[in-house]
This record gives sequence, C-alpha cells and structure tokens, in this order.
Amino acid sequence: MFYVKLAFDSLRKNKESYLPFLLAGTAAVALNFLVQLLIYSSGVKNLQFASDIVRLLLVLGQVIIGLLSLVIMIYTYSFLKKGKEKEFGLYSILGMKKSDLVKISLIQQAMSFAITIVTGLITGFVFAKLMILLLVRMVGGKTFGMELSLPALACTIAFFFGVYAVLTIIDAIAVARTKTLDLMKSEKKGASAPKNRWLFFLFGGAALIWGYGLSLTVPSPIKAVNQFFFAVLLVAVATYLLFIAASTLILKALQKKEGYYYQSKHFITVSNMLFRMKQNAVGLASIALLTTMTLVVTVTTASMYFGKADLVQKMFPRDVEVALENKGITEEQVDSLVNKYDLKASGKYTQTVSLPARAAMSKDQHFTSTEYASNANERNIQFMTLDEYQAATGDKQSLKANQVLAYGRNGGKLTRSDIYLGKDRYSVKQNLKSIKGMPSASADSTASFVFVLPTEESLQSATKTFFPEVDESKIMQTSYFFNISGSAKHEEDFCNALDNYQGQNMSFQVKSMTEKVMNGIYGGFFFIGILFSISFILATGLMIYYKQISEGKADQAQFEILQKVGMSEGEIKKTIRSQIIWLFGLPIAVSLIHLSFAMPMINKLLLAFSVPVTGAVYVVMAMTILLMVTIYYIIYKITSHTYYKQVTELN
Amino acid sequence: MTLLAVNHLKKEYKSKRSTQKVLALKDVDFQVNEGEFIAIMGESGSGKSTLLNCIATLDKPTAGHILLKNDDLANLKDKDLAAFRRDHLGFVFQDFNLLDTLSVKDNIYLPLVLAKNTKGKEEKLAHLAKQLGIEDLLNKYPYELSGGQQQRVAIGRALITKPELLLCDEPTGALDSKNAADILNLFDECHENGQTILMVTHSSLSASHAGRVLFIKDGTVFHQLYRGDKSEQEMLVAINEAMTNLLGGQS
Repeated sequence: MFYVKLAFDSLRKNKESYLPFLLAGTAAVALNFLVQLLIYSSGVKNLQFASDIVRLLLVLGQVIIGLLSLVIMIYTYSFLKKGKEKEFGLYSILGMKKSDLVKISLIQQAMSFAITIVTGLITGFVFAKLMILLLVRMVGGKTFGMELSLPALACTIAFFFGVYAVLTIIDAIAVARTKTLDLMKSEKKGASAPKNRWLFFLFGGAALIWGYGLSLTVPSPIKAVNQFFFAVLLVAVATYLLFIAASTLILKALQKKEGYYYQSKHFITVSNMLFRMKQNAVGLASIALLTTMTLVVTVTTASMYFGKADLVQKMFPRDVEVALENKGITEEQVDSLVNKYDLKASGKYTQTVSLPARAAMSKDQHFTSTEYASNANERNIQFMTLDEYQAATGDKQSLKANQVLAYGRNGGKLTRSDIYLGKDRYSVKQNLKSIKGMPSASADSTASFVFVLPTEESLQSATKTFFPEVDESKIMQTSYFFNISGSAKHEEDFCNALDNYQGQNMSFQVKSMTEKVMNGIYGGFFFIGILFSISFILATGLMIYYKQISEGKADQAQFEILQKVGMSEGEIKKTIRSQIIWLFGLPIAVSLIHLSFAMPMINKLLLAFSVPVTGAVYVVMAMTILLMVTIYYIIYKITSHTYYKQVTELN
Repeated sequence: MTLLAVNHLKKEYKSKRSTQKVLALKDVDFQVNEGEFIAIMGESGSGKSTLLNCIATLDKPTAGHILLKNDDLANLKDKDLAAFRRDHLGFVFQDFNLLDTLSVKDNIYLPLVLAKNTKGKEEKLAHLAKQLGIEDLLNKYPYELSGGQQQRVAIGRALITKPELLLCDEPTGALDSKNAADILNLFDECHENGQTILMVTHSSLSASHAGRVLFIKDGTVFHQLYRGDKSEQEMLVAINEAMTNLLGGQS
C-alpha cells in the first residue's frame, strides 16, 4: 500500500510530462483498437470477393501501426523517465532497495496501463462508430457493420500489455544499471554528442535499396500484394536507421565546412540539430513514416474509389449487355421487354466471341489449356472469327491461314511475334489496341487475350484444344449491347424482368447495378483509407505536439543564454524557423521520395483490384500531397508560434 | 574618463497578482571610469541583480539614465539591443551559461558568429586560450569540463569581442575556493590589461580583488570603499568590517 501511494505521488508530481504520455498512450490504444475492430467487423467480412484482401491489408496496417505505437510510446516515455529517475535517486538515498524501486515502477506501469487501456478503448470505439456514421453517408447509404468484438478487445489489450512490459523492463534496466548519485543527476545530464554510426548507415542504406528494389521490380499484381508488407517493413527499418545515422553524418560534415557553419543563421541550428538528433531522429523517422503511410493509403484507396468509374466505363461499352446463350432469349424478346417498361433502347449491336478459357502461357508464348497455372502464367483467352471482327469493327483486315490478330486486356501483353495455340502455330499480324464494341476491362484481374482467328477451321481447332468438354454450340456466345433511357423505376423493373429469364440459358449485366455494387466495395475501401489517414494525421499531430512541448522547455534555457550573449529576436526567430523547417520539411521530403518509389508497387496493387492505372491516380496523388502539405503548414505555423513564445519567455 | 554613468536609477516591479509595486532600486547613482574594476556588494534582494540587468539592457529602468560612453541606453531601440550587448558588453554568469550543444571552441566563437565578424577568429581564440589556460580543452564539450574550466571558457566567450565593459554576476558562486581564486586572479590579469570590469557579488573575498566596492542596500548605494594602496588581505578586512558595521548595524 505504501508503494502504491509513492507510485501515485510520483505520477502526480510529474504530471506535466506524464499527461502527454498518457495522451499518447490513449491515442495509440484507440488507433490499434480501431484497426482491430475493423479486422473483426462484419462490414469487412461482407465486402464480398474483396473481403480477404481488405483483411490482409488491414492486418498489414495493424502491424505497421503496432510498431509505430511501440516506438511512439518508448519515445514519449523517455522524456518522462528523466524526471522519474531523479525521484528514484532520492528514494534510493532515503534507503530504498533497487527491488523496491522496480516495484514502484511496476505499480506505475500498471496504473498507466489501466488508465490508457480504459480511455483508449472507449475513445477508440466511440471514434470508430462516429467515423462509420459519417462515412456511411458519404459512401452511399450502405451500412457497414462494426460491433464490439471480443477478439479485437483481447488482441488490443494483449498488445499493450506487451508494450507496457517493455517499458517496465526499460525502467528496471535503468534502475539496475545506475548508481544512486547518477539517478539523482539524470535529469541534468543532457544527451552527449552523437557519434558517427557507419554500421547503421550501411544497414539502413542496404535495407532502403532492397525495399525500393522490391517495389521497382515487382512482376505481378499478386506478387505485389505478397511482397508489399516486406517492402514496407524494409523501408520502415531503413528510415529509422538512416534518420539516426545519416542525419549525424550530414550535420557533422556541415560543421566541418567553416564557411557554412560559422554563419549566424546556421551555427546554432546545425549544432542544435546534431545534438538532439538521437531523440529527434526517431521522432522524425516516425513522422516521415506516418506521412508516407497517409499518402500511400489515401492514394491507393482514393484511386480505387475514383478509378472505379473508369473501370465501369471500360467494362460497359453500353448500359446493358445481354448474353444470348443458345437463343435462350432473342434480341426481339429483349427489345419487347424494353418497350414494355417504357424504356428506349439505342446504340444496339451484337458481338460473338468464345467463352473465356483458362490457359497457361509459357515464356515462348505457348498457350496450353489448364485448370491451374501459377499467377505469373495464367491468362484468360477468347477467340473470335475474322468475319465477326470485320462485321463488328468495319476494319477490312485480311489474314493468312497462319496469322492472327491479338488484343490484350488487363495487362495482357505479347512480346514475341509467334504464338502457339495448343499445337497450332500462328504469327501475330497485329497487336490490336482495342476491338470496337468490346469491353476493354473486366472485373476479374487476370490478364487476358482475344485472338481473331483467320478461318472457321482454325477456330474449330482452337476450341477443341481449349474447350474439350464443352458442348460445341455453347462455346461461341453472342452478346447484345444497348443503351437504355427512361426512369430509374422502370429500369429496375426491367432488370427484374430480365432476372426472371435468368437460369434459362441467358445472363445479363447492367451498368447501373454494377456501379452500385462497386460503390459498396470501393466505397468501403475508401472509407478505410480515410479512417487510416485521419488516424495517421492525428498520430502525427500528437508527435509534433509532444516534441514541441518537451523540447521547447529544454530549449528555453538555451535561448535565454543566446539572448543574453547578444542574439536578437529576429535572429532567434530565424533560427527557430530553420530548425522547425528541418523538422517538418525533412519528413515530408522523405515521404515524397518513399511514395515515388512505392508507386510501381502501388500500381500493381491497384491492378490486383482491377483498377487500371489512369491519370486519375496522379491527380488524386497530387491532391493528397497538397492537402498533407497544407495541413502540415498549418501545424508548422502553430508550432513555430507556440515554440517561439515558449522559448523566449525571459524570466 | 567615465565609461559608465548610472544616474538616479529607479526600478519598480509590478507583481502579476497584486497591484502593489515592489521597489527594487530606489535611487542608484555612480560612475565607472575606464579601466576600473568595480565590485557591487549586497545581500540577496538588495537589488544588485536588478542593477546589473538594467546595465546589461536586459531590463528597462523605471526612471533615471544609464550612459555608456555618454550614450543613453534608453535611446536604443528594442531591435538594436541584442547587437548592442554583443558589441559593447561581455557577460560572465554564476552558472557559466555555456551552450552544451557547442564545443568549447564554438562557444567562444559564438559572439563573433552572431556579430558576423568571424575574420581572424583563430588568432583571437589562440591568444585568449593561452591566457585562460584552456588550450587543451578547445575541442571538448562543456559537459566534459569541471566548473572552473567552464567558467574560463565563459570568460573567453565574454572577452573575445574585446568588450568595453565586462559584467560579472557572482562569477565564483558555483566554484570551490581553489577554482574561485584562479578565476579572480584571471580577472586581475584582465584588469591589468586595461579591461573595465563590473562585478556583482556577495562574497567579500571576490570583492577584495576590486579597486572599488559599492555596497547596495534597499535599492540605494549605501557606502563605497576604495582600495587605494591596501593589499588584498587588508581590503578583505575592510570589506568585512564595512559589511558588519554598515549593513548589519542598520537592521
């Protein structure tokens, strides 16, 4: 009981530095809980086919956020520790054993744990609910289930139990290693001048090159999903190591350049930055990572959200596509249905292509029929006769008996001029950019080809190879494309009527319906992205706030000396400005570099979700960066203002 | 020739909470000649630090004038104050006030860098370092030094701009007697080289090195003592006597 009282007393006395620590802890718990809630939410489970991938992304996000939380907690705790060690020194002089000190520390950790867990879980849950209320509206009325799940609760509590255990161990080591008098002094002792860390620099550099290399060389969308996490981890580790090592190296090099260093505007900034780098580096690296994370997540999800319109446009050359399989329904029947529901059909046409066959493509472009192919080799292939091609496009191409036209979609590309369809060898006369009237994208992300074959015989041969078990009459499919106009109600009735035909040898797709489904999926994505971004920006704000109040206090004495020695207010303002510009500019610059190297991988990731990379991606990226910079600029302005006031208060 | 003239200086503070004013300096009046070594003595709360802050332009007097080489400090604009301090004054503080983030060398260069006057800094430093006996410490950092060494560095920083007036606030307050004696001898040397020094202290031993001692009590100059031909020992006795009789006797 006595120890509990002492532990509580110590917290009360150090509340100025303790409160921000609790705040950081609460925010970290809230953030982690939020992600956990999402992972186990029914909303994510109901995301249809994308649910697994979304969960995978969320789990990756959770790992990153978890790591960040650990770093932030240790970082903020290091400020708190200084004051606490002095107190421990006093207790130790008064006759407490080291084991008693550890006991006090343990009780304190338990208290902080209880406080942050309770407040964090509550705020996390409330925040998540609020966000979902808000965003469900944005995304278009689709509810997104999120309930208080036990596994999420257990995971979060277990994780933070671990985090606080780490903090306790850090405390115990500090207590065990130091002598009583050192404990008393520990508040006074400033950081010593940092040494050059070549090892960190080398490892950091290697990890960075490896991580960037992974992104630049990733071959396929599925690989991108798998390797993304590893690349992110490499770059994250590299960022920490390089911020710690490279910053010291650069600043020391600057100090050696006399002409630069001995200028009033650089002198204090450079020597100051160098000294604080040990602590600053971790903070700056975390900020850089948070910023990168925000950019990546926003760019990815926003691209999906905005890219889907583009995708739907490509999937639907017309509003409605009805597959007239086996004459299950005829064009006339469809037309009469359109008329029945007071709709107007326009831009009608039909097109006949084979069913898609799953094939494996070898390196020398040998296509073989297969049930299973590795992700890198799998291709969907379809066939079309030259007659049909000419009729559909009006393109009067002629083909010799061993020639084909090839049209690649979803990233399908031919590199050689010869292809083998089973045993038949063809030379590719032309790689088509498009086939008029044919959808240029599908919801399925597998790379695909349409081959225009010269003769009926060659078609027969190909279909025999690739559709050995399908009834011949069902292989070639005629689709009927047309636009409709009329009221939404009538359109819905029309869809329902078509639906009643379904199951009898016909299928259909309607643009507006697909759009609705996609809205649900990608809206969900975008929503998760916004949730993450807001969380990241909050975490960044918290870190900057923490840096500001903790460092401003320490810097006050220094600027007081500088003022006495003859530094003018203007010069102090300039020095502060350049220090804070470093603080803000460096992470932004680094995150932009990270982002540009991540783009190839992000592009592939987007392809995994059938979002073709369009100009929209870059517009979204530019907008996100602009927004980030604006928000940062505002925080920068507030920070420098507050910091200046804090630092120049002469006693 | 008069370097510094303090004319009827008055300083009032308004405390934040109450409207009651605290009178720190009532009426202080004295002159300092070029090349003089003056000590200002007084108990805690006598106003000596306030006086020093006013002379250092860190604080503004309520009434009265301070003239350095016949220029009134009150005429200086706020934005010029820092430059003024940098160019005309040197500071030595009780707790050294070195910047931990700068090496010893850079700490001494600091005023030159701020004044954008870094030409020939190496020669100036070499000369000072020899005089102060810190030649071996130049590449170390302040936290690696003892108190006495730190104060030497601080003196180096104060003197490198060749200031007209060296202001010292309890320069030996944080030092042991051996180091304190060394630092005082350094001041003596500087004084012999023609440096004008104004030192605020409540240590009779420190004051005994000065050529003149002013005693401050309740915001006025209460008494002053000239050294004349007295030895340091005799001066110390005289100061202690004055303290006992004048300051103690009054209360």
